[in-house]
Amino acid sequence: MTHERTLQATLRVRALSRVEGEGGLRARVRDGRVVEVGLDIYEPPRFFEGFLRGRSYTEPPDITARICGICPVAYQMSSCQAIEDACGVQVPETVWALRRLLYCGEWIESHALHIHLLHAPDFLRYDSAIAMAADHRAEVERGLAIKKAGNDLMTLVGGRAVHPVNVRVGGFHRAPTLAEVREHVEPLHRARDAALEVVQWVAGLEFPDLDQPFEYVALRPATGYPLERGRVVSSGVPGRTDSAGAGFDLDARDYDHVVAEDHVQHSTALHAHLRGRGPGKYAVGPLARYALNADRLSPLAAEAARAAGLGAVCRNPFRSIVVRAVELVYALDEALRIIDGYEPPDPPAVEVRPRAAVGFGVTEAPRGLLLHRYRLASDGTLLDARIVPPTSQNQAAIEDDIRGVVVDGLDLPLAELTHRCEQAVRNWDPCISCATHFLDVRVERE
Amino acid sequence: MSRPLVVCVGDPVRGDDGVGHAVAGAVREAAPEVRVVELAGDAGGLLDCWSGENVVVVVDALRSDDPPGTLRVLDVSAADPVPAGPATSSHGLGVAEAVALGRVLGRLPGRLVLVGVVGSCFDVGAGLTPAVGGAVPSAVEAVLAAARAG
Repeated sequence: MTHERTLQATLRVRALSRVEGEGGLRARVRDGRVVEVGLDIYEPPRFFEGFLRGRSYTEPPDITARICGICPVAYQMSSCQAIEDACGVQVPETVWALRRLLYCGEWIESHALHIHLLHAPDFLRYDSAIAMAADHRAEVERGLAIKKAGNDLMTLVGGRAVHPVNVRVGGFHRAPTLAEVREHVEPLHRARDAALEVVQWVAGLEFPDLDQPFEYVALRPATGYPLERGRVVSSGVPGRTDSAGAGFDLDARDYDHVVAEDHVQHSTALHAHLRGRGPGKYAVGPLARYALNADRLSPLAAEAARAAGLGAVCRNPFRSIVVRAVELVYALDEALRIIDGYEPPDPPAVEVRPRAAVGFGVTEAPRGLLLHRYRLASDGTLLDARIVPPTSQNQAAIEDDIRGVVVDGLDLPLAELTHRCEQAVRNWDPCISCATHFLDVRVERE
Repeated sequence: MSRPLVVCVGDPVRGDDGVGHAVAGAVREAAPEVRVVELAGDAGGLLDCWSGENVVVVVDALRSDDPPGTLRVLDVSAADPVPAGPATSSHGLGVAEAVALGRVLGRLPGRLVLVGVVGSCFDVGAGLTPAVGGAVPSAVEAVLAAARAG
């Protein structure tokens, strides 16, 4: 029966739970070979690009923040950067530091949620975080407490924890005072200690084998681990020694030319690929950031990574939960570092006058690189917008993972194989609401 | 004994999802003795908000086959089942998940009542539909009755 099933089967996940957004996944096996794999999702950012046309250049931070309730800061940061780039404005380092602090809040919130409530149940074999909480109460409470530290940081800098309202082109409406910022030192210290325990905890999970030769793409800033700015760098195509497969180091404008998006027949979502790279897949997100910036981790986060057994590069997407935990330590450590040297920007925002130009912005959302491009008329009206979210860029890699999991798992019972495919999708923490609602699972026999 | 806490959940710019915020304003005016907070409604925020409280009333919009504006009152303390999903966002866990998680973690308030108003339109910028707007006074009454009965 097992033999027959694995030779001819269609595995269908109609609604994946514990991912952000709606989509489905399919894998079809014929004569023991995987002949089709698809991750079907919808992409609201396309509509947002339409909404933005005709709006004022001051509006993208508030409008695009609505694309996602988990990573609104990423949208605000990439859009501010792109508009300021178009207008030829440089914001002072004090504004950059406050942006980085806000971004740390989002990473803390998003990574703590994903690790504890969305991803860990896969490894510990529970259907949901609620079921897991009954047996792992301390771990879930720890995750919620860390998440709260992130929420509170978002509220401090952004005005509220979801869809922050304090961000504007040129900086912030109001800068928190030194006293307000320092109130967060103690909770962040506690959360950082807890995050170190999280790294140990997830490092002890069991990981299915999967080794993926993706080209990694991430930001690399002048200093520190990438968050709110930097150049776009690539690892190059693994195994390729020719110049066409070599790594790159680009500014946001050139990256906009390199990344192309295509319609695929099975999905209304766009699949991104890098021009001139051939059939190999590329990936953004924690694994890419880590591979390209492990030397930029703080000593504490670097030590946590070493203790967790992470080498210089991690190519198993199932181990992304470990990298995410290391990044959680980093974000907490970095928030404390920024607070330690905090100077309220005064004024909290610089004036940004519109001009007819095209601007580009790229930052690191919790789940990967997020590119914005805007074309402005001389009066600041937005003529055109392009938003390339991380999940769109990772879609092809996710499908590759599903294919790899099915190929390696043809001997597994179908339910187990289906579970592993869902887990493979959740490895990427896909933000399908940077697409929509959710996915469920159906298995059809051919 | 702390004063009853009314937690109004939702997003005021998402059509009928703004009913919680509409109720919050009306409850503040009608009953100054009641504490009122407005939350986006993620599970962690709800758990933090109600942990250790005596009496909590949560107000939120509902999706249901009932006509828009229909009021549903669930006494969670009396073990009424809380209908869950399909969630509009499984990434941000909502009220039903917060109740389930609170139960597992021993973090439910002494008494928890959910007041839901069935909505029909959750579009950005749509405002409350007439049916839901018309249900606000009776939702306020239900909230105050639950808060005062605590």
